[in-house]
Amino acid sequence: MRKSLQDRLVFWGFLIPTLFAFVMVIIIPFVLGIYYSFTNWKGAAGAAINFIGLANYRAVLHDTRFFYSFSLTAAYALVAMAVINLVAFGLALLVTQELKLRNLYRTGFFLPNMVGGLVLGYIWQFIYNAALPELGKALGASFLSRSMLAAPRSAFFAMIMVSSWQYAGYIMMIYVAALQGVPQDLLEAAAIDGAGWWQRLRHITLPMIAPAFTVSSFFTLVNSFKMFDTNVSLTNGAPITEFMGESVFSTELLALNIYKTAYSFNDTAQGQAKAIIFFVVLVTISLIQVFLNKRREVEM
Amino acid sequence: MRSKNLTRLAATVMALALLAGCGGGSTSGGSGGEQAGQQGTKEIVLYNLKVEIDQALKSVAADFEKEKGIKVTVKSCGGSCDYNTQLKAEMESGREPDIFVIEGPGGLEVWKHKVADLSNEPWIQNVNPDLLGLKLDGKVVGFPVAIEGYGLMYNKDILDKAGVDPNSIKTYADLENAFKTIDAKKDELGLDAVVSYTLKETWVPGNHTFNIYLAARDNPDEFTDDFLAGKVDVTQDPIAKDFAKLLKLIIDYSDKDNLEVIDYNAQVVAFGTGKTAFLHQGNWVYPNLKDLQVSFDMGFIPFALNDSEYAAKIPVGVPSYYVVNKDSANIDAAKEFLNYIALTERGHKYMIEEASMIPAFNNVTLEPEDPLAKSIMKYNEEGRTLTWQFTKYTGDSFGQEVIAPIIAQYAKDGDMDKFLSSVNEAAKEYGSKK
Repeated sequence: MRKSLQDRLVFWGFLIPTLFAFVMVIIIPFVLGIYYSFTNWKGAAGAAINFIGLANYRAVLHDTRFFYSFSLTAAYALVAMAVINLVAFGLALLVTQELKLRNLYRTGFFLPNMVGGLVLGYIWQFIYNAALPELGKALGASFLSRSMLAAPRSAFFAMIMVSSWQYAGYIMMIYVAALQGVPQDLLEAAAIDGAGWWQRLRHITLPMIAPAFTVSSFFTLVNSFKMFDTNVSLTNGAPITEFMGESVFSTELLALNIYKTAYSFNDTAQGQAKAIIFFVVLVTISLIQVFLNKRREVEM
Repeated sequence: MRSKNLTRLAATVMALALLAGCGGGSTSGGSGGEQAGQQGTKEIVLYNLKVEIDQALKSVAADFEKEKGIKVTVKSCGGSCDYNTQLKAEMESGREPDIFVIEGPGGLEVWKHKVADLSNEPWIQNVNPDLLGLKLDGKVVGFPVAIEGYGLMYNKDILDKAGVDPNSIKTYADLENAFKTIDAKKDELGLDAVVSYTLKETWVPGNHTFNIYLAARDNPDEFTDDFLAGKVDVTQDPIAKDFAKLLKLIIDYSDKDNLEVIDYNAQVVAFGTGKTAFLHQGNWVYPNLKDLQVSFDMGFIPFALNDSEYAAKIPVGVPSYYVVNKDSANIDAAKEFLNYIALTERGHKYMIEEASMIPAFNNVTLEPEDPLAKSIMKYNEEGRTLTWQFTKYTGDSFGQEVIAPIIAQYAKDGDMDKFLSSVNEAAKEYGSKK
């Protein structure tokens, strides 16, 4: 009896601080956010707030820029997810081989993930806008002479490159852990039976590490959807492109669009409405993906 | 058992730390007075918009503290910092600034419940009434930080070599000829482009360039109010066509392919290192040019959009005002600091020599060494100034988020009719939201 009381004390003792923080910084702001999305709140402290029903949500439906950002973000997240996972898996295969300096490679590939997104964006902005064009001039390569950030399509891929560079190392570590968990006896048995490298990869390794694919693709998809910091520092939306007859910022992802609605247009409540829509979509996608991936996994 | 006790201890410490953290935040919040009382000296916080005057402001604040015993903490926001956003964060931070910056009527709309009446302050006597633009219910609430002007800044050396006289440029035809003459000698003069312009820094096209359209006419105030209310048919406005032509001229003679990647630094460096003959910026670039150790003389030519009298004028205005927080515990100390800047020699030295600003006050006898400030003062004396209409919409980012993209699209396709109708629709939509 005494022991269980003690256990319970320890349980709550550990739980309460975390729970308190979680409620204060996640739950309460979230509930307040839902409330604000039905008001005309402008974000300035002390000003009056009126309830205006669904007007913010209706306005979002007619917002071309939001629609553009939404489609762009979906495309961006899909491409980024594919590229990051491919690169990460490739790197993981590489650094699990018998290589000299293999730990150095692992560290090196992981390192970009330690750099903050904002800093990283500014560094890459310099590379794209100054370093590469100079290199192009020196080599006489005309395709390098114009910054990749100057045209909408190349700016999109410039962003994909930066986020792959940033995240591939991190995802690689997940794959490395998974690859090391593949039983050697299975692989050896297959090799004795005459299976080649590709066949072993295709029929043993890949099914065995399916859970890692679930985790990684979930992680990269959601992360790419929420991409904000590098977006702000790398392009801040530029360059301009035309969409449905309106001039829009061609690389303005959803999070940046929400931020600008709230803080540039001073329409905090409408930004909040967009954020709620964003949240619902994000949760739906995540649930679908987890469900689909779970079915593919091999039970040991 | 020992380990159990340890875990319990750890949990308690964590819980306490967390509570202490929150508690601490709320006691210091919103009570600058209490804090000051404990320390024995008054402290005011000034939230500054212009990072380039940060050092100068801190130095005058230090002298003010020595003289009056009031500590002034200067916080600066600048470069890529978004002031309107950061100000909201500062206001929510629990230690509201006592003096902060409002950029114009648009910003006042957001913060009107926070500003104190300044209409009985001594410095008011020394300001031209035109420059006391920040008023609430007829009462002055804004202290003009400085006056500033912008235009097409020229490099005198390059213009001399090309045989162009900057003082003769007063109409669109003059401007076009000057651009053509210089463009023809580009290689000889070592230029990359004639004009250093940017579309990446959206405030340049959206606020500064677009202001020419709103201000270069009779009754600009009335027109701008109508325009922002969506009551103007832009497509039928002859001045809109003149403006579109001028815009195209500037874009065509700049580094057209890279306008959306050239940032403020790249823009200023290109001009400062003699790679362009003109720079579309204002006198605030002088400290940056000084860092580049420029040796050439410079000044401004107007954005000559047609051949009216307005084509020969440059926009001069008050870019930002200090306002005093009505809810501040040290409201008198804050007012005293503003008087110190406006009325003492130390304050004048700060404005003219240390911050390279052009004071809005007529009691200042110091002469600036900055050629750009001199050029603006000359335009001011001759009455060749346009008003700053864009401050009416900076609070909602209409220029940066709506007009700038339309200008960037126009830079790509050069379709004037589409440009005019896009501006027209944008203004109608903006008007409908008000």
